[in-house]
Amino acid sequence: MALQLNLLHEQFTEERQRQRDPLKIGIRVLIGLAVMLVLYYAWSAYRTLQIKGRLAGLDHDWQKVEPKVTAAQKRVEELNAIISATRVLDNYIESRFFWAPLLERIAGCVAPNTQVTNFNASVDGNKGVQLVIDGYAAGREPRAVAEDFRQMLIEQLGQNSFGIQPRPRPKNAEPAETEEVVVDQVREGSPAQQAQIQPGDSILRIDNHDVKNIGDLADLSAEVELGKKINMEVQRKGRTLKLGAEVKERRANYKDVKVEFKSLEEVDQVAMLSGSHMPMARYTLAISFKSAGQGPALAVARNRK
Amino acid sequence: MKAPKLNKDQVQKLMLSLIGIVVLLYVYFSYFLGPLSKSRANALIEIEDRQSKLNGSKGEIDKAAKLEQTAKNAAARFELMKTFYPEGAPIAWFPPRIKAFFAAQKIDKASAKLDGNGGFAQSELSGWAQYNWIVDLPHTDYKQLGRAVAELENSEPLLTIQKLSVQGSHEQPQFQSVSLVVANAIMEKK
Repeated sequence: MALQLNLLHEQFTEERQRQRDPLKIGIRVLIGLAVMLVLYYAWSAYRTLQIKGRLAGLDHDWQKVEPKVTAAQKRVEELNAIISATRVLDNYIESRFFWAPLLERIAGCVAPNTQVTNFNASVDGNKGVQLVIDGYAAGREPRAVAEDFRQMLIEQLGQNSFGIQPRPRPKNAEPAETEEVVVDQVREGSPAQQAQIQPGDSILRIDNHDVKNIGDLADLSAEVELGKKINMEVQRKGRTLKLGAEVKERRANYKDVKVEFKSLEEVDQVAMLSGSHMPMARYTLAISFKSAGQGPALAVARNRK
Repeated sequence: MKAPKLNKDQVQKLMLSLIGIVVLLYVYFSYFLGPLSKSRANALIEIEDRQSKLNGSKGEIDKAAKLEQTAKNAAARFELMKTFYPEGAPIAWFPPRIKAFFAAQKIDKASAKLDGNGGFAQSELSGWAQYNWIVDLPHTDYKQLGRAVAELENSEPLLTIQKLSVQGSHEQPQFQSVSLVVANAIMEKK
């Protein structure tokens, strides 16, 4: 009996041992894990398919729109290039120096007793103009005739749209940041004359812009809007006056005008003027200025016809 | 609790099972779930990209339409500037054109010769070149010259006069010989 019990116990132990066989447990765990992983994979694959379906839909929509968008982007690029090129070209055109108004002003200075033989002018990138004029002046005092020509050039080149001729700086004085702008002359029929500006007045402000130096006057004259009333503030004999004017025609504006003799000497020649013989002087004038802005050259051409 | 004692055979089987699990997990993540997840992540990125493109597409088309309106003047002006000069090498058409221009201004014997050419420094004008010319007017008078210069400056907006030289004639003081250095911007047509 005891032996039988003992055998039965061993049989149970063996059976239990067999049931706890690690390989079997491992295989069961593996199968369980594999099932879970397959299920998870299937769920992931389903989600991925859904996403891919959405992507295919979007791709389809995009393919419909893409040619239009690409064309629009290309056109935007083209238009931006055109806009910037046009802006640069406009600047190129607007920043040109117009020679016709200068030629006209110089022509207006040449009196019958003055002759221009050579004229050499060039403009640099900053619209600075250098000009050398050679010629002869004839008269009882030919040097004085040449000096009159120089003064006339200063007056003519210093003109602006307002019709204000500022008093020139003392000889050899450099343009200063702040200097009194005193009216030397007022052009006949000009906006300044209509506003009753007088020689000796100091220009303080034009349209709320301070006039700090002669260059400011030229710059403001170049920017003035045609046909619009402008307000000028001037000082006359210690009193500040507010005057109004209207600019109807924009003129070429030159600033920092310098007209100096490079040489002036009497020559052993005489000229026939009004039936009498007059002594002659040979001059060389060096002119320099900066262009602040100018009116359309066509207006000048029409006026001259 | 005491851990059950495992015999050698059981330890071997246990190790084998563990290796099996490790191999299964490796194969599963490397060859099945990994690529699937990667593909899904890529699809999501593409969706985001397409969506943003689609959202932006209307804006791009609207932007082009709006720019088309605002750039109307610039585009028209640009087209006009392109038509200022004919096609072909400037050396072929510029000298006859200048000659004809001054002849129309009653200044005969005008001639123009090329003095050099080069591109513009501005990147916006990459398709444009500047041609420099020397224009000689051997016989003119000051009044005619003034008119002609004014007309030239108005009719040729892409042309600038850089130098002007007037020499008086000894024999006929009323006439002058004039030399102009001019530069013009020309679009290089492809």
